[in-house]
Amino acid sequence: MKYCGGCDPGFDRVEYFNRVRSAAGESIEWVTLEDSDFGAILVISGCETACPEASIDSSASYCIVSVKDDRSDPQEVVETLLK
Amino acid sequence: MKIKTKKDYVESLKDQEVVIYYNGQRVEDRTTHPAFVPHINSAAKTYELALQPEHEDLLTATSNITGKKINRFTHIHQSVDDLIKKVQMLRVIAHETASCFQRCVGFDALNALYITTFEIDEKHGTQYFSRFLKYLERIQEENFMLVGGMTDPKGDRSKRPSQQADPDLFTRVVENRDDGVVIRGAKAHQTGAVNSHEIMIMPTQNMAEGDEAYAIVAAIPLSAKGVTMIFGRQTNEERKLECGIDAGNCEFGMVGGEALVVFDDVFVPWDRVFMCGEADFTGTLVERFATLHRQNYGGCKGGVSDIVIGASALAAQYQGSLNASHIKDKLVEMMHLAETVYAGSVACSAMGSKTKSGAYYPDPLLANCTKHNITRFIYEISRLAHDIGGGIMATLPFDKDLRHPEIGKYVEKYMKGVEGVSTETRMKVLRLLENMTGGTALIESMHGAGSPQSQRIMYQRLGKLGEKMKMAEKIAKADK
Repeated sequence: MKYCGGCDPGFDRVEYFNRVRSAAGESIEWVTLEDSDFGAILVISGCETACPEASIDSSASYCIVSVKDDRSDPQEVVETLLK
Repeated sequence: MKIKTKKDYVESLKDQEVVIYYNGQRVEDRTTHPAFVPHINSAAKTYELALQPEHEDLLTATSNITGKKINRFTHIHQSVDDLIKKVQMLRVIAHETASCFQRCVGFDALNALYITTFEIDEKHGTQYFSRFLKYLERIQEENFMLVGGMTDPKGDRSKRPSQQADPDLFTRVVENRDDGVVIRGAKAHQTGAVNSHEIMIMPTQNMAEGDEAYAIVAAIPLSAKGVTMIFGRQTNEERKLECGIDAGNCEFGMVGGEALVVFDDVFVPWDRVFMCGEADFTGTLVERFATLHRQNYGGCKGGVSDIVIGASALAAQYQGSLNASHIKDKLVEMMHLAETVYAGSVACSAMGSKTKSGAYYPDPLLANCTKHNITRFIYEISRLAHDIGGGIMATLPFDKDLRHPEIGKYVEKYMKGVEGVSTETRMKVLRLLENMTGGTALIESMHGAGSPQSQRIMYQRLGKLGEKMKMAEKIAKADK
């Protein structure tokens, strides 16, 4: 799980992540990028610029799910991460 | 980082014995004095947000000296991305405090010195850069808050430092010793001084031949013997002491909390001296610091303006005028102005470049332009906020009147706006607007990081007027 810095977000990123975490229940164990042992990355950015994407290696084998607004259904986000 | 949490920060301030005066009285404990607590709360956000996953991307960085994770306020910019993240960070903290959080000044002093000490050594064969690196490493490790002490009182502005009737009106070295130097003078308007750990004094202007004693850069703990801080008055500052609605934003400061910092023969050991007599680099250092500091203003003032815009919209909503076309138009204009100043800060960062030291530096002309816009646009944003908020902002009864057993019912009844919003809620928002758009807050926008005239001078120096004339000649096919 990786947040952008939140300089001028268009939605409440923390509240949105809590909805995703709730939808995931026990099916996902959440860690940070610094933990380095993960199978997928959820990037929650406050706008279309999505700053963290620039520093994430997109050629790596893990799945990257990038959320830039709160319109995506949290359940669908969880399903994509689990795939 | 030794100081991580707000608690760590406050305790570290308690550990230092400092001399501070407020309204004619010596302050015994700066961490509990009601005039200082709002400023401490604001500065503490620079520590607190660094621990939050949703903000750490902006509030932390990797040290180029140690490779360790550090607070960004102690970081040396290593790329254009770092310059931009600085501006983004300032905006996000302003969203939390709606006021100045003070720590950028020391941050800019560190970056300006990293670049300039490298260049002094290159020309003069001195050892300032390596000395500064050791100091910086300690600041990063401790996560200290540093005051960037540039502005001298300056006395008679038509005279150079050494020509002043009182030579101490510019901070200077009065004694060179084997083990260090002795400093006398003062730094004025020092943002965040009363709740910082150290001050980095720097020359206030370009120094000429004969003014070498004034070409001094030194890091001084605010607890050093001979340092006295005298806190400055702010508009309506005593309202903060009441901790009620009337303060508008009593949890955080109005602007930075500025103090006059006096140095009465303060001894500084050599390992804390980073320029001593190299007058030929004073102009360069001032320009570097000014550029780095002017870069900031679209970030922090952009963020503060977001709160002013939000409060203006709430004030309109509470009186039933939010949907009026002229209100919407004014809010749109305010957003245009806020995003324009933010765009300036991002632009000067994006056009930044690498210096000889390896540190990155914003485009100086664009940084100056950004701050110059602040001296105008914040006034215009505030003017529109006053227009939307209405005269009630200037005549609103006291908080105590609202709570008075006899007259409270009249305030409740006649200050009421739309149904569903309490009078108290309406008063809170109006007081917030008043707090953010009047008096000291506006003057800080005018003079913080240099008065507008100092920015206009930079246009003359950096504006490439000659090149513009050549381009016009070419297009006009004008013969010389």
